[in-house]
Amino acid sequence: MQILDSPATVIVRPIVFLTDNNFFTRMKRLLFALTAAIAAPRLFAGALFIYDGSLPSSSTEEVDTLPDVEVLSQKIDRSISSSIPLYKIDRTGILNHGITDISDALKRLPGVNLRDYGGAGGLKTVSVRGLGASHTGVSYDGVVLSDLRSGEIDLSRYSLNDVSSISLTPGDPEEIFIPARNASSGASIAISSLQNPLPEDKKFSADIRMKTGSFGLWHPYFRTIFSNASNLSISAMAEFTHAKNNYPFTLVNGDYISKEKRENSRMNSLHTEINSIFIPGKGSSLNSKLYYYDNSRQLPGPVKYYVNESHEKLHDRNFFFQSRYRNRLSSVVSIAAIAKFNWSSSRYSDKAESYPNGFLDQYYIQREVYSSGALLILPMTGLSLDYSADWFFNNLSSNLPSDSRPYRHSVLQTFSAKYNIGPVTILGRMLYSLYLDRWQEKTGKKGRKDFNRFSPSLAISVSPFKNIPLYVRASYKNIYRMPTFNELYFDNYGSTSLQPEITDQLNIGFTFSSPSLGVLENLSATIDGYYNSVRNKIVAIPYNLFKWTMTNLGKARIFGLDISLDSKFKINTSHSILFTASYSYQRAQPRTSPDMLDWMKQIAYTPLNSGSASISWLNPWVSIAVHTTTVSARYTTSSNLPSTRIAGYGETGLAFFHTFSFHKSSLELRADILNLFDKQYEVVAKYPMPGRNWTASIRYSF
Amino acid sequence: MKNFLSWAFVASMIVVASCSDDKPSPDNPNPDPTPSKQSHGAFILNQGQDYNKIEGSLNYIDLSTLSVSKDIFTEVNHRSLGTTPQCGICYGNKIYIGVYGSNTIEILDADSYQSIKQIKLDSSTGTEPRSMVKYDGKILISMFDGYVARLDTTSLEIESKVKVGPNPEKMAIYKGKLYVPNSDGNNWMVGYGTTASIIDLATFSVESTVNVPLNPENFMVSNDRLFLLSRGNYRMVPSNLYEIDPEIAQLQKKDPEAGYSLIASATIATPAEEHIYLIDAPYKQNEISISYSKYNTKTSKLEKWNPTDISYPNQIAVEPYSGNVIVTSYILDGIFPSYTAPGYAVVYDKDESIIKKFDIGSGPAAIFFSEK
Repeated sequence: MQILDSPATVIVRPIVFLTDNNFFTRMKRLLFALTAAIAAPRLFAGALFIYDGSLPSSSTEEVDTLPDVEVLSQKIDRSISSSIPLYKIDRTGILNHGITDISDALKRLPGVNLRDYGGAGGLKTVSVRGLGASHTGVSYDGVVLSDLRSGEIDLSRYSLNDVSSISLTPGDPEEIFIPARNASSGASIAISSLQNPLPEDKKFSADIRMKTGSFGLWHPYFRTIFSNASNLSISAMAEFTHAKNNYPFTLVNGDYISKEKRENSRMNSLHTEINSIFIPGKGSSLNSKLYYYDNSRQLPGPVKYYVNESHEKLHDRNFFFQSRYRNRLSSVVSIAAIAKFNWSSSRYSDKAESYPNGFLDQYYIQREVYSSGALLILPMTGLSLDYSADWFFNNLSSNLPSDSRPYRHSVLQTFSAKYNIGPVTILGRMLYSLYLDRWQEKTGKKGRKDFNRFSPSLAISVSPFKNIPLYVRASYKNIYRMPTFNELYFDNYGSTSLQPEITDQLNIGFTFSSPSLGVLENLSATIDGYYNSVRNKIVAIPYNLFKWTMTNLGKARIFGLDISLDSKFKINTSHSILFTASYSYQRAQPRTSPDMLDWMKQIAYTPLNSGSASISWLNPWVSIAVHTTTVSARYTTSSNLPSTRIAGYGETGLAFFHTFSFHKSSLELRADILNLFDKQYEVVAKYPMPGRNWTASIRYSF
Repeated sequence: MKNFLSWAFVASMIVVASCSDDKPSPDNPNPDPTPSKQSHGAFILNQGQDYNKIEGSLNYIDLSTLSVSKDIFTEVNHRSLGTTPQCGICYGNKIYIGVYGSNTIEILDADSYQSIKQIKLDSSTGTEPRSMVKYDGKILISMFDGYVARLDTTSLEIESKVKVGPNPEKMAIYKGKLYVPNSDGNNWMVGYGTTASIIDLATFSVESTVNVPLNPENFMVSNDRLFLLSRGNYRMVPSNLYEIDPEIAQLQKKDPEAGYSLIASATIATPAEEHIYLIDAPYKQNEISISYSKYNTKTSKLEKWNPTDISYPNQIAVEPYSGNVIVTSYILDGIFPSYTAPGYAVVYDKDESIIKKFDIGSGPAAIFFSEK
């Protein structure tokens, strides 16, 4: 009774696979070679996550873009046929591969560089293919999340409990019937929460979970669904996380080694949502979400010598309401619309006698009003056209005396066309962006700054052999990132003369998927090489401790290789083995000027090699997943000063899980051991990560 | 290690009793310089950059042999000096170092660099040390939490503290009084501080609090005259050197803006016997500009001073006996200074000729001299 997760309808077009035995023998050899290479750590460790290896379809656009398909079914995985790399992990994959949280899911994907300050309360941001975290757009149920103050989305805010799938595109989205804003970042992460079942499916169901673990972790979760059996289904969920995060770490100070604990690290967080699906008529749907998040955490700060004391606190709150409407007016025309209101606040406080009145209290509030409209036309077989237009308004206010109360109007429009003819799919998009910034200058005058830009992208996918599920893909995207409000307006730091950072992204790749072959139920592999260049890179230049300035001085080039592999071996009806692996090579070179110390070195916090692998044995007793992530050494400075090197690390975890299915309910038990070998490592300098730890969870749904 | 030990042995022979025991008298904290006397060396304390894994360090330039010994504290004590070393001083046969981030005072033997004691600071002592001066068997330490602490050099305990204004910086002793600039640096969003506290050293209590130009950072004494460097606000109010009238407290009873007069624009300054050496590198959005000069405290005239080979200066100190000048500098990273890469120090003689250039670590925060 996995009503919450099961796809109600899966639309898959049959494809006839070839049965050239020689070909598959060759492929098996290749697979062997790959596996062997993956076993050699550092050189080749990685993760190809093409979960949900549904059969590739050469022309799914028509089907996929039907407005009601997303409601009716989980989307077909197009990782293989996509003209732009697309990595997706769904609910089954999350369990079967022992994935523990969203950042764990993402760090197993190729090209991803996770920045993690450690523990449940530690900030987690993701940069993709060397572009920096502000180039990563994150959408939640199809609507892009925003933080104009920092430009980065903290992924520790989103829990895996409520997630049905996570996908990553290091480029332009493959879909065209999307809001213009979803195409406005260099890389996109899409988090989809559990969808309500259709109204006619069920009247009432509930899902109760409890998770506990090391370092004082308690995480209850509850979700319930009501439907009126005709056109409305409503679900409500709430989860609460309490974590002490007082994990031990080893402090090495010259010849002295001491056992310490992270202090001032407690977190209490509440997340609650009400979701509804309303079906006004055939072919149309209205999905609404009411969201509230409240996280009050202490920040342990960087590790210092001789003192382990911190009084920093961070209180984040976020409320939003969003509604998405889709209507398939005819077999030719579909429309979609989005409306959202977002309010978020962040309060940072610290206590020290050296602050005025012994206290630092910085309170920021951001608001957003967002609307989007999209029109999809399917004028002839194989051709789909989309026009999307978004308008959003953002502002920022704070309790800072220097608050310049900036606000921004953004108007984004895309015109996209996708053409599928035989083995060839071509996707082209033009994004036109217009930004109007206004703020209060110190002189009392109103500051104004406008910016507009055309950003083209083009992608092509070819399946050259009629009977071999092999695709060749190539794509180009030109995009920018707007300077954040901090970079522009923060007193003694920002610079209002900043221009957007511009990137060009090129990708060439091959994908392959094999059908069943003996015990090999499926196998898919992708290999992509890319070249990214960044101009007008925003760089902070300190004048002294108190005074910084932001400039557009930087340039960078990134060359990389992303490989992913996903396979399933079915031993018999009740036993199967899953193997996934990914590997990334990222050569991220600062290219500002040969006079600079970082010229042609490796960008700070960017590992040259990284990868992940997992093997799972699914069985009727207790299924087991073993997973490992490896990251090579990084530097905290782009000039790669020897003392700023952070050693590479490998982290291994174990997951045990079993689901008992009853007549109308199910009970899922899961236990995890993380950092099995108790490896002490840092992702961010001076922020040690937890050593060996465990979690256990129980889930009952009916 | 072996090399170091043999070096340490030789050095200890040379440096023996370099931080002499003769205590300066209260009225004349700096004993009269005579041509025969010269500090044997200069200590350069680097802050490092903790969040980038660059550790602070104590370095020693031997001015007789013109050789540099890097990171001497860690070499001897096999542990880190701490997170963000900030200030230091040599007094008697000991070295005192204030470590801002770790909240400690490290007391070393001046010959062996062995740590004698590490004082962990707390609210009873004042926290976050910023600067040190020596006086009559005591080390006076400005603490960023708004206190001046008094450390006794015999008991090696902080025996008392006195509340001053917010975020005090570099202090000076002038005619039995301690002048404390209250920078209020942590309140920069509202504006910096505009007061200085004057402490009577006999009673160790604040005698008066006076108005001074915006963002006071560094009190200095030269040729029996008192000066103050105020940093302004990096915007409209420039960073300047002022002379402070010793009667400032009295004068301000009538006119709250009286008692100080503008000397020159400067962002970095250090006192010498007859000069204040000045560096002016004001904040500019997209370029750097640096000018050098020295203010003659006898003739009250600005004189030329042109130290060569300095990319971007950050600290300056004048060796009191020889008048040699040490300037530390960042190296340039493109057109801007690198705040992470190891910088260097240049020793000049009185006539601006380079004696020698030394590579040192990242982020020099203080230069102080061995005694005698």
